[in-house]
Amino acid sequence: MKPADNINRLIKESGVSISSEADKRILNDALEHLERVRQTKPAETGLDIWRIVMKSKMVRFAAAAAVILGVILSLRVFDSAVAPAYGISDLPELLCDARTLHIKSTIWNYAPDPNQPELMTATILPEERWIDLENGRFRRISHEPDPYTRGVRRYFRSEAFRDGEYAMDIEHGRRLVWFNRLSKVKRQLDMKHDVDTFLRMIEPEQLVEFSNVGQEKIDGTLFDIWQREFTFDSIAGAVPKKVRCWLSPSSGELGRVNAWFKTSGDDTTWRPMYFMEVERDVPLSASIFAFPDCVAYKHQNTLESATVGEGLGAGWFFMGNAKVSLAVAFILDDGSIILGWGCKSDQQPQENAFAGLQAGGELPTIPVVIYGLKPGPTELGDRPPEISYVGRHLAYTKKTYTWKNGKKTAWFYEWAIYVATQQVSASPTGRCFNILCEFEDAGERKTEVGNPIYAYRIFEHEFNRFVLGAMSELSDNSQPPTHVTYDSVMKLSEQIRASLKK
Amino acid sequence: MGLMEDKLLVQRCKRGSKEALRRIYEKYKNDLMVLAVALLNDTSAAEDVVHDVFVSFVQALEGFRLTGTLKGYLATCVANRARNVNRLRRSHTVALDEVEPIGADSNGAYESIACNEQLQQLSRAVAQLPCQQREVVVLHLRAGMKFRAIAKSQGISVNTAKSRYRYGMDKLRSILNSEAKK
Repeated sequence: MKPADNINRLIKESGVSISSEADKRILNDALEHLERVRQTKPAETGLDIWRIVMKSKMVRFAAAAAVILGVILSLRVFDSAVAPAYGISDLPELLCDARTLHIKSTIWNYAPDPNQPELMTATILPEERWIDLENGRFRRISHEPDPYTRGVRRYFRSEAFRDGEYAMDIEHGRRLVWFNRLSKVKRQLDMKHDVDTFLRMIEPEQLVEFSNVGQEKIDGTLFDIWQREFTFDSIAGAVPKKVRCWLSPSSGELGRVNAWFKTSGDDTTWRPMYFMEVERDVPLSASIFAFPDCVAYKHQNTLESATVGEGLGAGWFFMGNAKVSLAVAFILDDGSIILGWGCKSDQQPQENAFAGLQAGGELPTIPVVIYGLKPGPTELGDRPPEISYVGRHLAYTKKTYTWKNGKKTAWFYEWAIYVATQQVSASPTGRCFNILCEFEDAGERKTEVGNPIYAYRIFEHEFNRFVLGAMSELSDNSQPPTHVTYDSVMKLSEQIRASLKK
Repeated sequence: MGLMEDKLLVQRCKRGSKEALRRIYEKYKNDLMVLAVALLNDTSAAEDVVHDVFVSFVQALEGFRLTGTLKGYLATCVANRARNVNRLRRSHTVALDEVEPIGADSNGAYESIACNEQLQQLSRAVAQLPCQQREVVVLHLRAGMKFRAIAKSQGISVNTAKSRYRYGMDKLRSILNSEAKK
């Protein structure tokens, strides 16, 4: 065979590698420049000035956000040479660049018909959200199921406002109003959760077929319709799902996102789940986000009396005789988790419980010990993996709260690191974990699966801001423990993982 | 999958993720090195070009928007920088096209990659191609870039890119066939 016959193959196969010295130099220089660029960037993508917070009632937002996520998780790569100006693969970038979002949704809430339980009937619930990413403001009008009715399905209208360090919630059904003050780190985390996790974070591994199924003109604008059909592995079993997305090929405008499902593979009817109309970068006036006067409503507290509360505002609950506060949890790059928690019992002072503890060693012996974690279902309702995480001590902080009546209470927060008993990769987004606890109840030591906590996905460059920031906020001297750094935590989790394998 | 993954990696890089930058570097460093060596015929100069391309990529991240493939973008950057290096060389020495092809016993970069006789012959033949043809051939075959993308990156028409490729391949065939006859 003549060499000329193999030109293509030979050129394709020809290989040369960079010398290890140059390899190191190139990567180090590039990383160094990245660090320099990062340091010179003003206000770190505006997180400090963005003050949007959507607190813990994530489910309502998640319902609609899930649609966006459903779309985002379903993107298909296609040949850019034949693609229109904007295709479905541009969607993450388009959403990432959004300054404001106005989303009007219709949500179908299904439940068995009380008269014919074998039939499903739907209640149609409207929802509207305004998100001002630049100025960190948020407002949502939604409908919540009324927990105070039995046998009859009833919903009441609720509103949530977030602006800076204050939040206002209105429950129109019971005509209640209450205010919250928000921890700086927590509101940045929640904003990150909303913006980053739902709109920006996408793992290529999760992307599957999305195909262009046609076009439609809406109000004079031509939209491509992108569709994906897939089977969703829910807690209830496999559920066929279909998501459609209207995207303007000329402007990148995302017009609509609709989702349907079937109750099972045998079901022949596509039932609507959510229909959303999305407006990106429309001007949102300040009046949309202004806290309203609710004169005829009962105020649980006032703006002035609103406090942050224990554990970055998470509050506390009882386990046995002790109060427990789950402050915050983070998923790190290697899949390990840091959870900050504290407990308080009048019978057992804790001053000495933390003395002499070593990073990577046993957890403190206190009235409630969270010795492990287990993944819970995600906001999308998928089946959680069967993995356990084992807790080890990382650090602790002490925070003394001074209340308005002058009373002081001190909380010790254990910052434990949880490492999976088997190999895991860090999820692209945050997720809920169930806590595995050991606690004293009526003189007995009991174990129980406790309340779930949402763990935020944190990347290397966010470690100091969020993890050390949270530790600082829950510390009397406003400083994080000095031995906690990203590298030291990564090294420690690796050591724990190795010891667990043994 | 590749295009989407790259878009996400770029997004994360923009937000300062070192891990994302590492992934991009590891993913494309070898392809870019082969490309640079093919265009410059000098390992050391090729490493410098790859270095400059990655550093410039980081510096330009803020306003960067990925419209095609990342590999294509980086390959174009390598080709542009290699062209500049060749231009400078030409102004200081003689035209590169006039340089004698690098022999198998020389210290040229291709020696290190020519692990068998066919590859050695090919490396010598590629080195004899005029710069413009060499660029199109290598970008198309090694970097996997489409003629449309090559044409856009070089500011030429698609037909010109195709012609350069065809002439380049003809010349390669002719050189290799004549060597085979020897």
